[in-house]
Amino acid sequence: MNIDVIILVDDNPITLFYNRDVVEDFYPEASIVSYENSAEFLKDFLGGKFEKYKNILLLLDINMPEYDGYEVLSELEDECEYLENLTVLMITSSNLKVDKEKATRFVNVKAYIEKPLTISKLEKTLK
Amino acid sequence: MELEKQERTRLLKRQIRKSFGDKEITSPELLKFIDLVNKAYRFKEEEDYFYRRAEEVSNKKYEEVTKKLLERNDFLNSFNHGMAHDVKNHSSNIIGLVQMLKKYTEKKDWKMIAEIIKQLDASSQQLTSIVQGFLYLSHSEFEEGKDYIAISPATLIQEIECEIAYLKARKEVTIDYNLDEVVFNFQIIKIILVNLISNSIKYSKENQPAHVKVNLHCNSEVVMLEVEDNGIGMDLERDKKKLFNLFSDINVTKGYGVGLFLIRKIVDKNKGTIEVESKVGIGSLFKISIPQR
Repeated sequence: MNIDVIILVDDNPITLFYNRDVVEDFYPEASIVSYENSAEFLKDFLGGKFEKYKNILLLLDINMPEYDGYEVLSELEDECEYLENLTVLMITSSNLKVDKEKATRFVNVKAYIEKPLTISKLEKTLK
Repeated sequence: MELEKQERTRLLKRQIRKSFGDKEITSPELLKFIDLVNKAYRFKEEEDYFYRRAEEVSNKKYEEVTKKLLERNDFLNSFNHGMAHDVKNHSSNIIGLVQMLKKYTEKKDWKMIAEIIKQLDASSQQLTSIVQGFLYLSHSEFEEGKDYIAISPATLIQEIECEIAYLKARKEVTIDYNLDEVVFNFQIIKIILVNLISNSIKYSKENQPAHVKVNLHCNSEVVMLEVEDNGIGMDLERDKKKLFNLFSDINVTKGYGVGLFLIRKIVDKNKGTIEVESKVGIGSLFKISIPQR
């Protein structure tokens, strides 16, 4: 799968630090942007900051204080005009069936990955 | 009761007349016998009544206890779930960071290794403080009136600073302490302040130093704790209800982790109150008051 930009959204900076390292190895060519705050991500994304990219990969946490992962997804579905460019991976510590089912309701969600993120998990879902 | 006794006496006399011939019963033995039978009846009735009451009371008690147990069970379920979630988050980070450490050790990238160790330090600190909170809560030491001691401001500050050191390593933080010496449960005061201050630092503005004011005062009735910051603030109209949720309640995915949840539980248990003032982009103020014993 071809990817131009990878966006990481997680409220824990250490998770961002680590996930960035994993995706850097996996897609060395792609640019990487991370957000600790889901509201800021939405503002940028809906504001068209990533419109120029054809292939966007979003790694999204579920449990977050501002907008949680599902709220981010529904905001994107309602408001975003360049959704066809977007592939979403939910990255979360939850192994609940309800969470998985909830996540797959969104068309842009390609997979649901349990933390910690690893190269092999990325390979399995994206290659 | 008295009527029943008369009726029973009449019936007994008739039965005795039938068996022993139709004459007036005057024999003291027989009268004594009738009296004894009456007493036995009375005794039996009282016993029945007592058993019925006991059954009623125990049924009611049983229902009450069951209700309490179910509530407690619900709470423990969601608490366990939330805990597991938080713990998993941090342990995943630690696992990931160790993998990174292996990779960068091979590359001999010392600058990166130093950074990873810093993150590992923070992760394990966070993990420990979560588990600590769990221990506190599963313990009964938060019960009202237990373990009251005179809390010296210096000791309290020292303990708080030790717990938030990992946060201060990442961010420029100034904390103004204004603490009275209060007589109270040390753990309660410490865990509330540590959690509130940690949040103030975690949710501080990225581009400016975090400034936190911490007040602890008391009068004869209540102990008051206040933590005020210049952080990112919250939209209370939107978030107030969710603020003290355990984010990982099965159907709740929004929240601030176990910290505020823990505080609410402790304050509730001690019949205290929590007030929150906050403005997006300005900061937050948490005011907690807990009655003295």
